[in-house]
Amino acid sequence: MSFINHIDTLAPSQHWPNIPPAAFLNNLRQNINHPLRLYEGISTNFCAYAALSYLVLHTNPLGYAKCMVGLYTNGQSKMEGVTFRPSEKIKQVAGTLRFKGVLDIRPADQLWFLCLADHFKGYLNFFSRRYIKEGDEDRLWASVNYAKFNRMAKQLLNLRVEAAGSDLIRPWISDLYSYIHSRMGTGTVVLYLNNTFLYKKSHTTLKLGVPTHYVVLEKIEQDDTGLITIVYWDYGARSLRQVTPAFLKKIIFGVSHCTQKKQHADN
Amino acid sequence: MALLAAVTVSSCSVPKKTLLRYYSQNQTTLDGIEASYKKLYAQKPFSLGFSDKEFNYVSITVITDSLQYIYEFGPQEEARLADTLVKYKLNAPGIISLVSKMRAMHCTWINTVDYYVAEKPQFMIFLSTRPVAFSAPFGYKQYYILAYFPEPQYFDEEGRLYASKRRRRLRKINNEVYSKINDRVCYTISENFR
Repeated sequence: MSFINHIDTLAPSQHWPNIPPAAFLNNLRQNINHPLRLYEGISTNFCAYAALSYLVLHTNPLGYAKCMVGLYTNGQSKMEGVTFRPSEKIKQVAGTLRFKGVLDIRPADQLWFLCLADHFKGYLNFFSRRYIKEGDEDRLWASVNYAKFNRMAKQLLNLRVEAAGSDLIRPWISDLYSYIHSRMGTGTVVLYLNNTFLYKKSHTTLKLGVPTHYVVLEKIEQDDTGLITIVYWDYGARSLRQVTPAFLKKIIFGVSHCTQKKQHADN
Repeated sequence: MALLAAVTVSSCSVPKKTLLRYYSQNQTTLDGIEASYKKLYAQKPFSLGFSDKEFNYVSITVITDSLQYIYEFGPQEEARLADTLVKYKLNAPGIISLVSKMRAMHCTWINTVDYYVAEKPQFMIFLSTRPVAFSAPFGYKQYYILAYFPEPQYFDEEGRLYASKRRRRLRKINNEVYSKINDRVCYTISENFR
């Protein structure tokens, strides 16, 4: 925080014409002070980048702040082994995304999510590798398959990631609750879920049986009746809900257990 | 096969005038639900809906500063619902009455959505309904969505909702384009109820 506090003002960036410096700095300060308020935006495919940002803001906030200031002032920047060189289109679009809830007024978050989606590619991005037009943030261009998420966590945070699961088949774990619970004490657990069951949006009985959403698990407990209480973070807030073991097994396609490999050089 | 396709296509293109007629016939009740929710939300934030198409399972999200509590209550769990509302200091009689009104009108979901005008947050009320007439066999389940804004909005000649007076960008909510019912109330037809 002291790094950001020492930056009183920034000159308007030539690289990011739609991001005023004051709003950028304000957004950075807010993220570092209140990392849980980070919001991926309504209807975007930024949930994986938001989950990754949760890890970044909790494990390496200084590295994040330096990377963001570097991106804003120089148009490119480095974090751990990753060098971000965002495309010209991204630089034009950042700051102009609208109708995404509070993301509308958070230009630094728009910049960050767009840079992550622009840099990291997986097989889901094969036919949509470049941001072309407004709305691509809601489409395949920004989507994140499971291997890509784990790779991002490893490369950007130098974390050790133990991953169980895949994009199509649920993890082969008989007692999912015990598996997840045992990993909660030693690192951060990110769940890859089928969102159509977690947040029901229609009453159709035919639902796509694939995962599309990432949440950070903060707590998991099972009571005497077998009911499981989970507390997870997504969409800028913590949510608590009670689920049955069968429901939990039905929605989870991936469990990523992220632990620190080494102390960050910046700290 | 052709028949199946025809049924599907016809059920997708629900005429907008049906929706307008539906609103006009039920305006007092629908606006009453919105007004009740608005009053109750001001006391303590929450969102409310039904997770099944028979309107038996009540889904409620209680919003606090630190956590969102997401609960679901089955048809035999009215007492548990009331206890939970009391536990979180919500207006239990008011919300139970709202649940009844929503069930009677086949309202599937109501919540508050934030949107931004000149960088300032504003809040609209999002209400979705699933009239029985929509349950066409093989068809998509479509929902009437009503958006209640606190201020008069901007529209073009076709009645489409715009983000500002200059009418440069359509204001989308959950990626849907909305149309005018009156200055403050807009509608769309969606495949999703939230």
